[in-house]
Amino acid sequence: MRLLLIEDDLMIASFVSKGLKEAGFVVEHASEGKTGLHMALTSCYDAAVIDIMLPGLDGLAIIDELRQRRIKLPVIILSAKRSIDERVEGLEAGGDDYLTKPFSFSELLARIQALIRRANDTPEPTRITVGDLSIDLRTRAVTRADKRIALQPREFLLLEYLARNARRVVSKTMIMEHVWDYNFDPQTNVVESRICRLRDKIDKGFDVPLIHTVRGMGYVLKNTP
Amino acid sequence: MFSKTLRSLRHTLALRLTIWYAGIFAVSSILAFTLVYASVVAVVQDRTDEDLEGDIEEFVSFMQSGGLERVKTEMAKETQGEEASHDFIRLWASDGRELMATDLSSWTGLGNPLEVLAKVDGADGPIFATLALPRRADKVRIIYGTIAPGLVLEFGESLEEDEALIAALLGGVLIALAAVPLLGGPVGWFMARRALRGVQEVTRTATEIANGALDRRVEVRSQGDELDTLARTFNTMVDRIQALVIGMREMTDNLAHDLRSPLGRIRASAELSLTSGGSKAEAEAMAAATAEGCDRLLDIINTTLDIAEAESGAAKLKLTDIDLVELVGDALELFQAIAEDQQITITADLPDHCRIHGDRQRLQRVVANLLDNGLKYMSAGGRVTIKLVTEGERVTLSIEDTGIGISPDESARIFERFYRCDRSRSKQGNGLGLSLALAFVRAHGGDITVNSTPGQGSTFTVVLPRSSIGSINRGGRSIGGMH
Repeated sequence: MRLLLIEDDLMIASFVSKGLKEAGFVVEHASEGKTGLHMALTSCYDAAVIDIMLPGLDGLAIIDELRQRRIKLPVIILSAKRSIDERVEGLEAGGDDYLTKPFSFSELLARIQALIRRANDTPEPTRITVGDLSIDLRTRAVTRADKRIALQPREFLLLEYLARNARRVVSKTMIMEHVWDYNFDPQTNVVESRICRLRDKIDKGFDVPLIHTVRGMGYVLKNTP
Repeated sequence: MFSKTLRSLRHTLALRLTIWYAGIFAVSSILAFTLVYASVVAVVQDRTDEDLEGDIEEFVSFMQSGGLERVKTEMAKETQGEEASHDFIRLWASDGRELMATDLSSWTGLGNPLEVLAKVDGADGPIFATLALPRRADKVRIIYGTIAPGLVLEFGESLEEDEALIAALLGGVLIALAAVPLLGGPVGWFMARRALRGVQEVTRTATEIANGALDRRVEVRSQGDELDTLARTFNTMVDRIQALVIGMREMTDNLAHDLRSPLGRIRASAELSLTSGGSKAEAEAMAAATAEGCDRLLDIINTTLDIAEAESGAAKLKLTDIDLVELVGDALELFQAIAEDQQITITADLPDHCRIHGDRQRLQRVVANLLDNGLKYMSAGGRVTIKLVTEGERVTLSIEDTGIGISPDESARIFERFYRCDRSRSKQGNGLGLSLALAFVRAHGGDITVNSTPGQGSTFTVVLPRSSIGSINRGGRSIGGMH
């Protein structure tokens, strides 16, 4: 998988490329708008991450140019502006997704993978397994070590979201957004309390815990410590 | 320098008012004097004509009582001595023959009034004429009247006295008119200055305020006039500005304070891991603390911006049809687990549906923040009761808790940004939740009130219009998202 990153902030660029490379992507970086556009037009990428504020040519203009030339490269827009207007403007220009700085890397990664999956028309999985945990997405049956686990609907959604992002850290904000459709994180730790309950059902009585808390970042579902 | 002073003087309102005043004063004075002059002239003329008519009537009776002889005697009597230069009398036959005349030595240049005589014969009454004679400075007023059939008496009277009287009047009027600008200017200036003194007072105070003395106010003289209204309005405006400035200063202080604590923690943990040269686990703990601290900072900044945006009316509400029952239900479901953890019971009294026109995401935050607030200040065994009632075009959502309650002093302040009750400082939170809720509800054209008994609990009541017309009209801004 090849990714194009157009970002003039070198700190952010190096942190994002490092993370993406660790996640198995080949990353090419341009720190200037015109170079970035040139790269996007001459090489083939699976997705692009483009900052809006760029020297030379701004991100929206790059996306506009790509769309005019009918290049269907999936694009995630990065921006320091957080108003809904900016988001709408970015998506209207032809961006596929929008992320506000500062962002968590895990969220960027999740969004890139979702975009690529969508672009490649990857068939929806019907079953996800993590270690000895198996989730049937059609019948909503959850088993661990062949033992049936009964979950409430919202608990299932939470587990499903963790499982779809297995081995990747998801933040509380991401969970709030995808499981509860809230675009903010209430101050009382509602997510933590839900994770606790889910953990009681999934991990209690098993030697290897699957739901891990990553301090300062969020939660991850994985079968390795 | 002088010309500059003059130029600035020309631009003052006082001078313009003075000029206007003097101008209007002059015009009305001229009108008044002209009117007086004209009517005096008319009265004087009328009086002369009446005298002359009287004379004719006298001669008619002389004619009847004593015939031509009597007339002749009376003519001589009328013009004897000095009178000869003041009056003259001639008696005419209507065919134009002069029958008699008095001493005409001072009246050279009198013609033969044949045309007038012809007219008098057919006229109802006497005929008047005014003549200027070449050898006389004054004019003469003449009456022609029939004293017997075929006999016309011509009686002339000098207008010397009338002219002297009118000349004296004209002189007086002209002197008075000359005095008008001399009087009108200073009086106008005095009145303008007097009227504008209050304005200058306001200006002086405004200058002081502009230089930073925000506690200064204009003195209200309580005379109930326009200047008092101006002073009062001005003072109200300054009160508002002062409140805003104080509020802003407090908010900045609070923001700085609230940003400083997480920053301090981040810095401390970074410093600790640098100096202790610790293990990987310690470095990880530091990184985690840093990430958490940054999230908290971000949350404070974003929430502050959200509030400011909503309060200024810049926030574009994304209005859609939403079911409040569903929205509240989702929020209850979200908080259910944590309430159970804290052994708090949440009960809800909701109708089947409650459709309103509102911004879903913002109202989600309102409800979540209020629930959050309710749960935060309650101990085990507490109870939260949620009620949703529709009354006409308004929807009332009340959230009642059995928490620690809020004292009356504090309940006035809990919606202020960063305000935290004494007892809430130990709790997690940034003191922005209620401000945000209020700002969002107000952007919808609604309001939040609180009713609390310390030690027993509080009830927060949210009133929302079913269709948020209020917010659309607010500040004349259009709200986006209405497709």
